[in-house]
Amino acid sequence: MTGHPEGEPSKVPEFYITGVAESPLGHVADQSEPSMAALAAMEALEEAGLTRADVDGLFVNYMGEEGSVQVGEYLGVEPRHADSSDLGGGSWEGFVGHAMAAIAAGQCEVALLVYASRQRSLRSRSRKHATAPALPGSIAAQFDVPAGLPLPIGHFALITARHMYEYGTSEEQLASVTVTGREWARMNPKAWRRAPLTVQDVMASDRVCGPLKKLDCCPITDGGGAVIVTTADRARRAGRPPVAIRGWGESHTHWHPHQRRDLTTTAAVASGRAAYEMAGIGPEDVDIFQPYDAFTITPILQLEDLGFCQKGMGGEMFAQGHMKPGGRLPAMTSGGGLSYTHPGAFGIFLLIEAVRQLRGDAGERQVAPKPRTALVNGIGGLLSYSSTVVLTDD
Amino acid sequence: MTEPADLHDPTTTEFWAAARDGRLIVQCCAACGHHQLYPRPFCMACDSPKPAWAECSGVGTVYSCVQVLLPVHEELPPPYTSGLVELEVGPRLLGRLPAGTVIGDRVVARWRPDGTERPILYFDHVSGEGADGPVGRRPAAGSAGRTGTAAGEAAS
Repeated sequence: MTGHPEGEPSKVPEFYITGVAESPLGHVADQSEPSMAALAAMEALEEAGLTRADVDGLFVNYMGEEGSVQVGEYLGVEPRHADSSDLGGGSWEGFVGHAMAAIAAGQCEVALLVYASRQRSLRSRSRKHATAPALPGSIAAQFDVPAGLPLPIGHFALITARHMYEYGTSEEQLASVTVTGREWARMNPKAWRRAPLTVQDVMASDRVCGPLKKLDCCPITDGGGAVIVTTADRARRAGRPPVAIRGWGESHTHWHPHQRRDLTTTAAVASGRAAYEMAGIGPEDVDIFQPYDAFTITPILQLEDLGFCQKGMGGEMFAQGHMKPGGRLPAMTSGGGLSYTHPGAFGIFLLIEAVRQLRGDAGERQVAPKPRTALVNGIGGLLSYSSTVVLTDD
Repeated sequence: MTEPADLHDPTTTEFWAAARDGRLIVQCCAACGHHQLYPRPFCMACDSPKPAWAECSGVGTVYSCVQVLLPVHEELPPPYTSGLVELEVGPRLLGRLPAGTVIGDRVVARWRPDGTERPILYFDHVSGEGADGPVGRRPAAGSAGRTGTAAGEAAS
């Protein structure tokens, strides 16, 4: 770094994503969760020009107790660096940075990030009982559960209602988030919901909690994916152009809704600031954006908190169509969690789509001209956790 | 709930004992006066140890609220309204709210015994400020913050 002839820091990135893959998606009747994870892992490794034997870092969430241990056994991987951190649906964005740290510390060279769930087939989120029983004596059991808010939608509804109150965000603007994703999903043959959709359709869907209607909420699908994070040296073997990891950050703010003073501002502020600073870019340099749209309020908050618009203007920005195909900031280009797939956790799919867009591999929905810089923001918990990743095509 | 309330969380024993007595208590730091909930063994504002319990009026303002249309608890058929209330002394609590409550409404805490060690927290509108709202200008135009039509929703 200090030896650069012009005295500037080296621009050579040290970390790459070299393989991405989805498992079967939608309603998966012929695979188990571990087998889906394995199918995605093998495909991602093949794309990266690597094999199972090369994997020495394993990053897993939600695949049972001690997830990386269970998946490691299934894959026959005994890693030098293991991470089963539970950071909610945004864990895989978090894992990108954790893998960078592990690689930088010499603890691994080939990090496999993986996820699979058959949440739709197994119906583990029954509508009949919308809350999982909180542990007896936990803060949630004492202070949250008696109020009767369904999880997670009731908490997202509270945040949505507050955003509407503070900034005048409308239900039509929320609906435009779903419509934006759907316009992309119509060009993605793997998307779960592909039928044409209007703001009026979303507005007419059944109200489920507060301002949120059925089509403000993601579907529950089966699905999984895998991502390979590795070194510049290993990236040379990749079958597809490697994607450079230029910036990363993470943070979390709260677990219980009563502990966050400003419920409409998220940890994306901190994780975004760190990622922009590391990458040496700002929001004006971003070509495509992959927000975490489990509910329509989330991409609105992410737009604001990551500096794409003033606080409170995210809903209007969506309604103006800037994130749609042909817009100035294409977002949710896979169709997003609202239309493409949402097997409980959506984080890994944001990385997969960003990489495909940066390589020019996205088929009919490929953004043109081919984007060079992607911003990915994973969210976990009840808008509790955020990790931001900056990816570029060189 | 058959076990004593303090079996799993000894730090809230006093809070629930007060609740059974119809009182709402919050932690108050002797050093800086900061109020906090849930209880912790230190002050979130100034790090002083052992904040003491103090009784509060239970009056607060609705920070956010929603009408719930999904079944959550068997004993609580939808629709009903729940939300976050910011107490005058600072801390926020989740509780059940009267039908038609909107953000900004002034409410007061009321414990409703349910035969367990931990009564259920309800909020009523401060007297004279019913579900149609406090006297004066509504803080938000249109439907923003409104919890939906009160039609069919039982008053709690």
